[in-house]
Amino acid sequence: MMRQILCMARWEVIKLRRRWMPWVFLAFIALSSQLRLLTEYQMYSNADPGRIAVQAGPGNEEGEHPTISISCLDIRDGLVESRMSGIPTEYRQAAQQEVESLRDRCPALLGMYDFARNNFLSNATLPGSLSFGINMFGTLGYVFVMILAAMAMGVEYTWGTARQVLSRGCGRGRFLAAKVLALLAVVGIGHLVVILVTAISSLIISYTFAGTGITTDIIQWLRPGADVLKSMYMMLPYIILGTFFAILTSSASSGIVITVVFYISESILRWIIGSYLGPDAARILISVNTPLWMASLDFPALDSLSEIVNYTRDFLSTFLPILAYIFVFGGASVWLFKRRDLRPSTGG
Amino acid sequence: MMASNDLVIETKSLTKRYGDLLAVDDLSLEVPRGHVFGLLGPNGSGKTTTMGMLLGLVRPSAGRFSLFGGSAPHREALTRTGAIVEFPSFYPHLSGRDNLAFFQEISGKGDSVELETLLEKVGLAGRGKDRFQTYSLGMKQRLGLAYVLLGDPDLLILDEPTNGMDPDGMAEVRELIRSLGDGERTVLLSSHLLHEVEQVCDSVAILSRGRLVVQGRVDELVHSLAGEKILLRTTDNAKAIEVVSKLDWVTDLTSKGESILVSAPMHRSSELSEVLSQSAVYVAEMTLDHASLEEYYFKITGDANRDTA
Repeated sequence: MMRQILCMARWEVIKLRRRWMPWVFLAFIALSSQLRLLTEYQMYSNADPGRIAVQAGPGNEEGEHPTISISCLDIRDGLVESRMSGIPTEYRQAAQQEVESLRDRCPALLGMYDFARNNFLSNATLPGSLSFGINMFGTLGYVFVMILAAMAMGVEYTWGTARQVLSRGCGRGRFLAAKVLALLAVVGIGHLVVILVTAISSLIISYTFAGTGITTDIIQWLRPGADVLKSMYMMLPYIILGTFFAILTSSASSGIVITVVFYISESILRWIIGSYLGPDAARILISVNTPLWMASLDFPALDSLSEIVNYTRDFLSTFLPILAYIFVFGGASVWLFKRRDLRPSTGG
Repeated sequence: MMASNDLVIETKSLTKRYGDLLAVDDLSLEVPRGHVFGLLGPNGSGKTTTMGMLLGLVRPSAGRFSLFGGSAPHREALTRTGAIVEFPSFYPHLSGRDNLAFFQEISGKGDSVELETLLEKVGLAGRGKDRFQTYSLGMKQRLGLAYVLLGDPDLLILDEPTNGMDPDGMAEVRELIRSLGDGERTVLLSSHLLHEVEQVCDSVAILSRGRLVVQGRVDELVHSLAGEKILLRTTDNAKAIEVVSKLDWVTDLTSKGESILVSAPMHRSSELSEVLSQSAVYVAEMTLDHASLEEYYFKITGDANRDTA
């Protein structure tokens, strides 16, 4: 039985590989992850380290005068004196007064600047960048995964190939299991591609920002691995939902349409339920649980029983709703697929 | 009645209902081992639905069926079956060869040599690497035939296998099906082309509005219609009609070209000849009139439709 499922899953991957849709989705996610890195960089470069321009000499006939730029970074690094060394004495006092007034604002400005820099570096350099890239699946990838699942299952009805596969003695349960397994494998390959692309960008960034060496802290390196597992678990209910919609409608196009409608409806319901019944009530929606799941499990130090209890409670509060979705929609898919006739279209 | 182990397909009171529509009604069929068995009937008579039930694609509403005597689970029986219901369905973005390789692997039987042999056999050796979506209708049917032969199955279920083929292709496929039915292999075939069924099949079942009208060997069914008719050519047909019409065991008499068609038992043919010669009318030719399966089919389905109307 397992041999047949694995064999079919392998062929499912081959079939998906030869279609354009998975490639477009993968390219979109990989590009989006890089765009997010670029956005982080943009935010960091726009962060103000308290830069001022002090007058460094007499003005010309048009009233323009030379200036020297001084920032809080110069103040923190003790570079003010050397930067102001070229300023004539008659202008130096005024310049020093301006620097002193800047110095008072520096702690707050540098705090924000450092935050932006650290944030950028932690998201853009290894290994933190890998988790950052993997998170793209949680924000965007799951919609694609649902559409892909609806397409992969729906075309079996549209093309009539489901009939042909099943009439060769392949059980319906095996057929579905192979589909889900193959889609998980494709999602796993997608994760690997995003990780690879992100790793290359991170190495370039590390090289550009000299001094941001790669950490050897094993815990930090384990985190992307855990994030991949978390992300894959998060993708499973979406794969099953896409498959369920395709089985429900017995069509690829209708399955995809219902998938998109489901995504939009959930977004609206999330807002309505959250507004009127509170955020806890919205936990019945899968889209509420999955971001919480991705944000959880950050390897906390569990030093006391109460911490272990809290950790377990938090873990289960996101793990179980996702598991419930997997079982409910997985069960419904199997039931429906096994029960329904694969009717010939002629009725003959 | 045949022993169950001689029957490759057996259905008992098989019924399929879609809401108010009775697609298959109390169908009991027996398909013997080694036969090429034709399933005949107009559109909507339940042929494809019956095939769908045999393949586990459609759940029967009532009744039961067995493949290979029911000795093995249905899924196992299907691994010994090659079938195409309605039309050959393949993955359009895969090549013909890859499509076959996929179905071969999930069956767990055969190797790459088998693929090449089958592509060669159905005349697609040169196009095996092309995508299925580039194939013509006839080529798709040919690939479908290669598909059903994967793993050398004991039972073939073919729904309109020559549909969309050119005359040469149809003749080739007829020949192929005939050769496949030699020996122990059983073929269940549905077709609208009655002369095709007559040429290819040993036995047929005729369905009308989901019900079995008749089932039997093709030669016996045709003979049952034609056996009472004698085609006669004489030296004087006008006088022959006058003489023969007076015989009380002749039930009908019509002109057919230069001959006379006499409805009479064949065993009285010598008596007929004698009566004519006594009237100085001499028989130049006397043969059994050959009815075709087509004539039989239209007679039987017409009768069936009148009965159910």
